[in-house]
Formats: sequence, C-alpha cells, structure tokens
Amino acid sequence: MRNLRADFPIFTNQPSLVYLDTAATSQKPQVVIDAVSRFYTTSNANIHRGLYPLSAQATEQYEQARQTVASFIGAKSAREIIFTRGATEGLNLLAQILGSTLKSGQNIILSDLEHHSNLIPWQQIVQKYSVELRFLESDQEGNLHLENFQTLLDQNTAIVSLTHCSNVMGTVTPIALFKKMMQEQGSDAILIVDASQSVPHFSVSVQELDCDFLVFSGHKLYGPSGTGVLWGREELLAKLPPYQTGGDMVKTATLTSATWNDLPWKFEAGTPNIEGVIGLAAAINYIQEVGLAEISEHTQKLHTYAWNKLSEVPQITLLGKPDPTSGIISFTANLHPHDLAGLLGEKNICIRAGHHCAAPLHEKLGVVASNRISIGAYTTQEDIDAFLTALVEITKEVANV
Amino acid sequence: MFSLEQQEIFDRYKHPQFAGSFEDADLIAEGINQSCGDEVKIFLKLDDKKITKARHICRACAICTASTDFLLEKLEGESIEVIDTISVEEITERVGIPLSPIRLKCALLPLEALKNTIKA
Repeated sequence: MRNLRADFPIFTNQPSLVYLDTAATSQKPQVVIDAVSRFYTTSNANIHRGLYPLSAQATEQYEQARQTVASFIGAKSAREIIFTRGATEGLNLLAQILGSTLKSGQNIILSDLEHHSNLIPWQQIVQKYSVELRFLESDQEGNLHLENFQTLLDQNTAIVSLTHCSNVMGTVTPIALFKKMMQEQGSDAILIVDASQSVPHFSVSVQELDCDFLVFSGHKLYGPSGTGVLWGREELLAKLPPYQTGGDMVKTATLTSATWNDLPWKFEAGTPNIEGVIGLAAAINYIQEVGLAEISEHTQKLHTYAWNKLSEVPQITLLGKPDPTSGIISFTANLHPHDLAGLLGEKNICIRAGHHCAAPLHEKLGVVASNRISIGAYTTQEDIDAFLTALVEITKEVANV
Repeated sequence: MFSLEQQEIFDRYKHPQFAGSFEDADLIAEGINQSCGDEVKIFLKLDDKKITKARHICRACAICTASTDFLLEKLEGESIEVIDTISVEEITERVGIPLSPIRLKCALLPLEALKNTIKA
C-alpha cells in the first residue's frame, strides 16, 4: 500500500504528531475536507425541498452518497440506508422503535463487550417495557462463544444486539455463525450489529453477516463527525414506526394527523447533516480507492509488530487476544492509565486511557481503566516505534522510583 | 527522563507517606472523579479543632494520589479551619508540574472532598 501520510493534512500541520487513537476517531484525508468545503462553496441548499436547480444538485449529491454507502456494505437498496448522527443515534433509534414492539416477558441479548452505546439504550427499554436483558459473557481473550449464546437464546428472545468488533479487546464476533444458530433454534429474534470498529478495517457485507440491522459511525471511517449509518432490512424498516418526527419524514400532514414518507426518509426527520454525509461518501470512495484489503493488510502487519514488541515490555500486561485486523491493543502498565497517557501526551503521542465507554467490561477485567493504542490506514511503523520507545522509557523510570 | 517534580510525584504515588485508615476517625471525606474513576477517602482525627492524624486510601492516578499525600502532610498538626483557606494555586504549586484542565481535577479531588465534607 502507498504511504497515505500526505493525504492527511493534520500530519503536515503537526509534524511531530504520533496519533494512535484512531478507534476513538480517525483523522480526515484532504479529499473529505474538500468534499465538505466544496459542498458549501458550490452546492449548498436544503435537500428534498427546493424547486430550483441548486437544491436539486444538493439533493442529488446527498442521495448519491446514500448509494455509495449502500454499495459499500452490500445493501440491496439505498432505501435501506438511514443517515444518523453516529452509531449511538442508530442504536438509540433501534432501541426506541423496536422497544415499542416488545411484549412483557421477552428478552434482549447483549454481550459484556458492548460499548455504552449498545448497552444504555437497551437498559432504558428494559425499564419501560418490562423485558429482560441477558448478557453473553466473553472469555478471557475477549471472544464470544456460540455455546454460551445457545444457553441464553430462547423463544422469548426478541432482540440480539452485538458488537462486530470490540473497541477494547479488538476481537471480532462471528456474526454469521450467531445468525445461523438463531435460525437452527427457530428463533425469529432481530439481530443487530454494531460495526463501528469493523467497517474501517475490513470488508463488511450485510448479506454475508445475514443480520437485520447494522450501525456504524462516519467519524471512525475517515469521515466527518456527526455522521453515521443505520442499515436495516427494507421489510423491517417499512413496518416499524418512525423515530423522530417533523419535516421531511411526512408524506401528508394536517393539523391533527400525518402519514409517513417512504423509506428511507421516514427515518430522517429535519434537515440532515448534508455536507457531512457527502464527506462520508468521499471517505468511503477514498478508502475504496486505496483498497480496504490493502488497509486490512497494513493494519494487521503493524498490529502484529506492535503486539510482539509490547509483549517484550516487562511492565506491560496485554488485555485479551485481539484480532490483528482490528488495529486495537489494550493494556495496563506499572502506572495509572491516565498518567501514562498524560506523559505520552507531553511527547505528542496520542493514546487512549480510561474505560473506553465500556465500564462493565473493565470491572470484569478487574481494572479501573486501561490504555489502548489503535492503528489506522495512515499509521506507520515509525509511529509504533516512537510510542514503544517512550513507553519503555516511562515504565522503566516508574519502576525505578 | 522524569523531571525532579515528576519523580517526586511518582515517589509519593508508589510510596505514599500518609496512606492508610483508622477506626476512630472524627471526619471521613470521600471524593470520586466520575470522568476518570479516581477514588479518594481521607480520615482525620481531631483534638478539638486540631488535626492530630491524617490518612488516606487512594484508588487513583499518580497526580491525585501524590496531591492527596502532599495535602495531608500539610494538614497534620494544623487547625481544621485551615482547609477552607487552601487555594487551588497552593495545590498546583505543590504538585509542581504543568496540569491540563483534566489533570487539574485529579490534583484538586482531595481538597474538594475535604471542603465538601466540612460544608455538609
């Protein structure tokens, strides 16, 4: 793969930056920044409303972006793509609209690996509709097992919502196998996939996963903040009630009633993040031009390198056994994660510290917090080396105090 | 290389001089920093208003732990009324290293815990 450094202006403007927090948010290539800027400077108008050419142009770009996303994840139709503010909004949307269809006594299966965004929205539903939350426990390496899933799944399971790739453990869930088991057990539960950490790293097809809904954020995929995607099977989306209501999501409206617009607009109330969505499409085009397979290979190579080197640092405890494609390595050291991240930060080396919005998982792991490095398409071996050198120096110093 | 100030912080983090607890405490102050999970518990023994003994249990980062240890070092032997007069600058000066807004909260947690408990 060619060196992508020059495509990302942050590295020109911050020459000493070592950015290893891509799982929190990715840096943006110039093509994405340009796409956003170009929209404002050449095509800005509201969409789906204006009868003048400028609005038609804006609408066309916005809907073209939907088509780009649909092709990217293998959706059957662009009607199945709903734009959101991010994975969090996608999961809140699902919890609210699916929650309203639940019956008392039904259950929802999540895993203990979930990011708070795939946990808290369901906790709210449980309180409201008298349903039960069940948790699929991960093993020490951070993997989820079918045998354990089988014991949780029953005829009252209405929803299964799982991470595709853990943002802490970096493990990948074999979603298609889970779906197969659901079918074998005669379960008609809805399967939701949080693909926030998988879509930036390897090819994800909703047909291959065989899930019912899938969400991800644009900002982790080299796209603008405040963008996200909810994909759902058209037949399910068609029969579900809307999420937010207001402009653009109605077909007809009187003072006392309204009818809903067609898919996907039924789920997109109000003026959306038009320039962000256009920027997201530019990001997808960019990674496809670079090649997702090449990005995967690059990530795996650097991950393996970093993992092997970190294994040799005596003051480091690695957490779990991540899939190298995830680009994620979490660990603890001989100092508090915040202190380590703070000291590395003084050298302009950016790594994550905390519970990474997965507090229950950290409690299970028996640590208050952890550190995490995460690799993106632009990460270089020099980044990893700079991090390792500083890490060894700091942990040695602490050990000697 | 660690600066002398950094070394002192890590020294106090690893070998706090006022770590521990005792049963007949006259005042127990607890502080939690929600954003990073730091937890501090401070125990004071009073003779009238004089602090005769001060100890802490910190489940926290180095800055928070060292700051707590520095604070108790200052307080032992002083009147409890001193606590209200201690300023943010006194704490940051004692910690001695530059603190970003997020780390400032770590350093101030013990003082805030004590002030809140006395107020309550």
